[in-house]
Amino acid sequence: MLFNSSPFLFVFLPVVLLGFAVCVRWTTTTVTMLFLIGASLFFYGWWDWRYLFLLLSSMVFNYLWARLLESIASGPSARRRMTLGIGVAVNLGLLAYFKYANFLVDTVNAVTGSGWRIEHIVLPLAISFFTFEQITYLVDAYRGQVSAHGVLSYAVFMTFFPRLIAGPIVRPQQMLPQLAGARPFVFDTDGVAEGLFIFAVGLFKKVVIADTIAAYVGPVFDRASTVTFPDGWGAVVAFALQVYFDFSGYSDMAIGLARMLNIRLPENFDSPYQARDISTFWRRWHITLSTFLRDYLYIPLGGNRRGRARRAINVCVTMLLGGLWHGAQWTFVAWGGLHGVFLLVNERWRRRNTPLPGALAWLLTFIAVVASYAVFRAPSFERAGAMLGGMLGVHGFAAYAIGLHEWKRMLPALGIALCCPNRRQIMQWQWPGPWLYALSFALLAGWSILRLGDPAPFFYFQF
Amino acid sequence: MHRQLLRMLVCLLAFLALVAVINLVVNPYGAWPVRLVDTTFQKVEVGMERMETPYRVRTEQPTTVLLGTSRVLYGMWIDQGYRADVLNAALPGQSLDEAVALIDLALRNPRLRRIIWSVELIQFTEQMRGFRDAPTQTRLLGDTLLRVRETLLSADALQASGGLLLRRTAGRSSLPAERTLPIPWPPATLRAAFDEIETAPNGGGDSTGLDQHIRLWLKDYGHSRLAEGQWDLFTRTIDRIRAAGIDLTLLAPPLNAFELETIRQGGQWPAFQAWKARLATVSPYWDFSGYHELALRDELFTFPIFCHFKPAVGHALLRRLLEGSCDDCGTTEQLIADAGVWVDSNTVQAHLEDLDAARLRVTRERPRSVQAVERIVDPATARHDIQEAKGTTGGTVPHR
Repeated sequence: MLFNSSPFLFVFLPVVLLGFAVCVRWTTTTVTMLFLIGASLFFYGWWDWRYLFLLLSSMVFNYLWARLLESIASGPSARRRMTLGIGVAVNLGLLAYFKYANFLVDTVNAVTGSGWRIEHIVLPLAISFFTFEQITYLVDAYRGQVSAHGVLSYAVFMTFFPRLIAGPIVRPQQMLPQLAGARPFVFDTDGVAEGLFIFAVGLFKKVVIADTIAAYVGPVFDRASTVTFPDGWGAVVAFALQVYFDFSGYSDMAIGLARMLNIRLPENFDSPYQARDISTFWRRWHITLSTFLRDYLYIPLGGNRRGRARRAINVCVTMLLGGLWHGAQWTFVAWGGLHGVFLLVNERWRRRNTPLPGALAWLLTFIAVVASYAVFRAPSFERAGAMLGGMLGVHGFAAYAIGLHEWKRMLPALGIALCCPNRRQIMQWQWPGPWLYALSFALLAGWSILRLGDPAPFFYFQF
Repeated sequence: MHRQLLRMLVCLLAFLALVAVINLVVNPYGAWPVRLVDTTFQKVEVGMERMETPYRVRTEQPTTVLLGTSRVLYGMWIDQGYRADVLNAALPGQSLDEAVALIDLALRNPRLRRIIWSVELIQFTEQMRGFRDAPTQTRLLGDTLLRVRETLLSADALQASGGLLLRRTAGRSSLPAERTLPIPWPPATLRAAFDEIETAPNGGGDSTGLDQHIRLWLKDYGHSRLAEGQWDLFTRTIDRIRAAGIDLTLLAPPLNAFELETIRQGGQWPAFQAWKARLATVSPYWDFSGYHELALRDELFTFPIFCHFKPAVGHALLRRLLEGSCDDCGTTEQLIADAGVWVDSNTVQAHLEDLDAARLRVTRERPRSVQAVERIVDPATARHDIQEAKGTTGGTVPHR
């Protein structure tokens, strides 16, 4: 079920809010938790109920494994490390099977010339996201950072529908404490109003901005071999806007939904295209993934504590794996690698202590990020190469696909991404009056509802 | 603190209600029986027909309904969809099932007197069975929720309402002349339109676009397999129209020589002839499709999309069908009128022989269309009548 679909907006969400209010008002915390778990499983099962078993099995295993890790907390560290390693390996194995098995076989065949064949494996929705959350749960349990909680709290944390499909990636300590206490759930109309506003901003970003601009991207990438300079740059800028408004819109919707249920989720975006260097970009883009990669991969690899050479390797490994996380495709790995190189160049430049003027720094960062999308979006290196060639003017300078009409639609979106305060900042405004706030909500939500047609899936659902 | 939430919901509902009321009152798609804004200012945007027509056929009360594919839709173009008692209910790629559903809706209209139905070989094939898309089917079958969503609670509808109100504000004098013409266009308008076409012929379009369309039609005709069930559906519908006392004018629309060549060189000419023969057993019809002068006059078609004839041709054709006589016709209109042959079960065999003779005559002269399709058609699948066109088989008529 998509957040931008009529069944979700006009049936599922009102029913869940009503049910939640009833549970909070007239029942116990246990019943409320069971209600939320049931709603979340229904939400996930709407896509394909068979994969519910996968999700539930993963949950059972990880819950028990975390208890095992806690029970041997005072035991020998080698044993604890091995127990954690097995737990992480099981999770990664699950991800490897469903997400990377076809990719691995294809790669081995391409390298060795062998002809191995396996059946095409369907990627279960949200597997990348919930696997990473399970890993954080195990690692944090190993580190003793998970507060005491019951099985229902854990189940709510893992299945919580606002963020189940595409994040934000939430750590146990960010959510489990909110589920603790005698009466953790409150139906707060203040929270519902705030959540609705945040949700409306996200819905607007997705339905009105991202889906409109998305139409300009595909046709250019499909004809990459003949793409011209303005069409090539137009398409990557359009894609940059599409993916930002799509994914940050989804994240806003998730945060807003959670807020309606009185749960606070971490922010996932912070005006990333306004960044003036690439490391700032990564601190503002898909923040929960970046911090996951930093805390659970880069720092355990040694981070910057073992010299420059080792740091460079750690950065590249982290970014390559970050790229691979996006999908079983070498272009994603290359995109990650490209950003690894950008980060190293940025670090080197910073050490020279000769900062660039702000506008130039921003422009260089933006161009690097946008150009790298040619590799990210293209289905193959051949297509990515053709796209980059076109962006260098190999096929001329005439605009065919992305002209004045398209730029007229893209420029306001670009303006919003580059110059406007983001949703978090807007929420901190002192609004001059309650009616203006209500009217702004009505315009955002109303215009989005008027644009609801056949709901387009979110870009990050494929990951 | 319930107040803030309440304020937000009230504002949202008020906004949506306002939009719905505007769209209902202005009624840009003619989807509701509301006539507060003069319908002359309505305008069917190209590409919106599959959305608008199923609604419009319910609300308008025309005396004449036109049915067919995009040939009729764009060839007999009516800006408002409905004007002067004529509703153009043709759809791009209209299937027989869709035409039948539209006829069923049109028959509910007590003012209906006549149906002009353009039918094509391809509509009787397996690949054109059923409805072309689910939304069109839902609209034709009647779904109030979808109608509300698409025509009242829609940003596109609001934009269309704005456009309509702007045109209304600008007044009739700012409308292009053809938007207020009678249907079909009067002879003087037709003469002026044909004069304009003669002075600025489109020259046959660019070769890339032309080749693309030849490939498209070769593929479409090449994969066509007639479906028996479609004949049953067609026959039952004809019976229903007659039983309702509605005057039915059936026609096979004019095809450009390029399209006729895709049929012939794609090996489907015998099937095309057989289809026409069978059509005559169900109902008499006007046949405008053959290797006659009209088919060879490229400037009368919208190249490189050679399957579409120009609106002047369509309206001349409509005049032929509706008014019969061609006393005050100009030369081109006369040529179009002459292209139509009234065919029934008694005359069909002779007519088909005439068509074969015309085909042989034209293809032996190897006009541009023959050569263009030859260049593209796969030699492995090309049929024997390519040889025939080159004059190597003595001109025998196959499969008759």
